Amino acid sequence: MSEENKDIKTTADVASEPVTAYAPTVFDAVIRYLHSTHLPLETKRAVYLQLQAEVADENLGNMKRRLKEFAGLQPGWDGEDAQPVLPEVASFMSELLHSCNSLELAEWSLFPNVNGTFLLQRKNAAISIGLKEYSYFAEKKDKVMGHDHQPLTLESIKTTIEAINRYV
Amino acid sequence: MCDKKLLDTEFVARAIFLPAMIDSNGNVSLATFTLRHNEGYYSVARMAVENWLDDLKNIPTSATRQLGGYCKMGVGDIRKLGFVYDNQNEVAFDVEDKATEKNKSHAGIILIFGENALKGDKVDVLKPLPTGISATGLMMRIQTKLSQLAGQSYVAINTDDKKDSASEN
Repeated sequence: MSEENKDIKTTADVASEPVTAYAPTVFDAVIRYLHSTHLPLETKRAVYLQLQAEVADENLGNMKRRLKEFAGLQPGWDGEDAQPVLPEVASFMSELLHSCNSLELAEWSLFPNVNGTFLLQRKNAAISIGLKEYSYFAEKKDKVMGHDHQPLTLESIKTTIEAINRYV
Repeated sequence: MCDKKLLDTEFVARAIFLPAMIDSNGNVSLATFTLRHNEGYYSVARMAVENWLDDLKNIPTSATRQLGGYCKMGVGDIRKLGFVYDNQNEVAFDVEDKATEKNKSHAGIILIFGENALKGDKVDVLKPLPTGISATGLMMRIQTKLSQLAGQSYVAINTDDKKDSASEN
């Protein structure tokens, strides 16, 4: 068991504590611990789904909050020549975040890019979202999927997010 | 300026600026590894060089960019990020000494595509690349590898004392 997870004694402890008290980076360690316990599969599944939902809700809330913060970035926010986020792209991102199930974005992080667009990132995958186009990349072992300059619509980006979630 | 390759056993630090380069989960933004137009490397500090932390703290900041900390990256680990693109072109990562009189710990992570050292072009594009290469996809793949390695080791630093000489090694 990892150092950060050693204080978790039982699955009951995990389930009874507010999940947001744990850094999401500990989530995988908690799930590994859950798998190591001798509990019925149904119990493990129920605890897993509850944990996942609570962490996902927290993550999506953070992304919405950060999106508002990024809207206030000034020119040169990176110390060089970064542009403020484009209002149209920020508006699209807001629409996307509000239309997604928290579980769909549970593993994702949101960042501004230096050209005023946005980046959605998760382990081994990224999506660059611009005004009218988006590009994406995902890697699993030595295999890669991705396309540049795809037409941007809410449906197309959600389809890509789902595809990447299944892929990686 | 000398361009000596660093040993695999060395560590380098990449400065992380707030508020937009790292989130509360420790995920580092791909934008942290943007090569600007004609830039040929990502600046890092050699942690084996005395006062490297001061060198990081001396990077100009502004009201819109505050130094939050750094990510510690092994030179050998950076080199291991290399991959084969489209089953034919090798993309290699290397780290070279870029010391100057004013910044003795300065080093750079360089990218090599086939035989060519890459430079920044547009935000998400590198050059020179052969025709037909997905420039944005290649850039995101490189950035993802670097940001994931960096995200494993973020250390927040106190910048109140900008001249703190307690460099870490």
